[in-house]
Amino acid sequence: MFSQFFGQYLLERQHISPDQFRLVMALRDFSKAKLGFLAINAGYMTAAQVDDIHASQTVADKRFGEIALEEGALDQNQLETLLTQQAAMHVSLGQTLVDEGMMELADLERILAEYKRDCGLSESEFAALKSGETDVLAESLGKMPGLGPDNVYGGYLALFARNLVRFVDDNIKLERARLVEEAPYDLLVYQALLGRQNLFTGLAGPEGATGKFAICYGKLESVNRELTVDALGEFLNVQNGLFVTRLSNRYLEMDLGVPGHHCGGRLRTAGVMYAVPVVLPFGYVELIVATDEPAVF
Amino acid sequence: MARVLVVDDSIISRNSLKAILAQGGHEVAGEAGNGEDAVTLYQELRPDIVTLDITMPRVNGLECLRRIMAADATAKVVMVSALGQGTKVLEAMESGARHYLTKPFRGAVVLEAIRAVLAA
Repeated sequence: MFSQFFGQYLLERQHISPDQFRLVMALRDFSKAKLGFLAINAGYMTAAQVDDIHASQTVADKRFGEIALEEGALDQNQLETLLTQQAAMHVSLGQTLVDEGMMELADLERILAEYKRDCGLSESEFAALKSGETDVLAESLGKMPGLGPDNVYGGYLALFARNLVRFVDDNIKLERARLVEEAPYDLLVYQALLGRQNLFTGLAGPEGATGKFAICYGKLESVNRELTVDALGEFLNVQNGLFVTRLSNRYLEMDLGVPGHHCGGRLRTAGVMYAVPVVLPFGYVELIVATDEPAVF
Repeated sequence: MARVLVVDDSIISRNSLKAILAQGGHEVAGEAGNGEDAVTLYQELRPDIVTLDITMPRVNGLECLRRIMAADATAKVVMVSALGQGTKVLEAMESGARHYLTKPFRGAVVLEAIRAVLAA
């Protein structure tokens, strides 16, 4: 996640060009290796076992390694070996920039300091970003006071970030949740969570980005409006299903409403509404969370 | 081999289920994107099994289940739900559904449910 955050900063401040940004992100992606791939490579697991665990992640909010241990697909020693391998293989964005001759080390150091000053993150948030503690960062950025009790609605954004990384793209950049009265959209797919206190959730964005989101999530070759709405609705179903299950484990019952969609308008609320911009490699979408179903204009 | 009627307002979910059923050697007798069409198609096709999404607009899965059971008390219906819909699944089972599946689908789980319902 740090690479996406810092990479966007470099691009916005024109320290690198869009082509250079795409190149370094591609090189960085090439150097990453998912745990499942490493496990197959090491002969610890078969492709079928890896696929099975990926499928399990859609119904349980757990990391690959956790599920592999629980199901006996890996033992602790094997998992630690793979995690060590993964860390050793990872090439940082900064190293890539220097290795590819796009930046001198001294310039990188200076720009990193500027980024830390300009990024709008607190010390603890920046530390979480640098150390890859996505959950810690997402929990902090996703604070939405006024939505309801934190022990009920807290963690929604962190769960959303985990699901994005697992099922859409692992290069995501979250921004801080913003309290808004109005939220414009090209396409909005929404789902209400119904309980003692209702929660309105939605994904909004321009046609291009929402279409690409749908292609990534639905593993589709192409999309039209109908398939985009369908895929975003299914993603919200998974997100909200996991969230509601977690609440249920705390004896708080909520139900899922029927997903719906609107095109080209604005949401307006008299209650509490937050918008959380999420930057993905193919564009941005916004997560909308509100206490009541907003009026549509 | 079962003849299956697939009912879900999500095209992606229908396609996913259809692919799994085909891999398992089952025939997709028909598909419906809403509860009203599902009841009509059931009466036309008389499939061995119906897979029925719980959350659909207008006529939801539970109401659709009741209408199918009213038309045919021997109907074999497998409910499909998202996670976190345990209460609705329970209500469906009490209304005559034989089994349930959770989205997103896992191939082995789907085929085992179909096998179990066929064998019952």
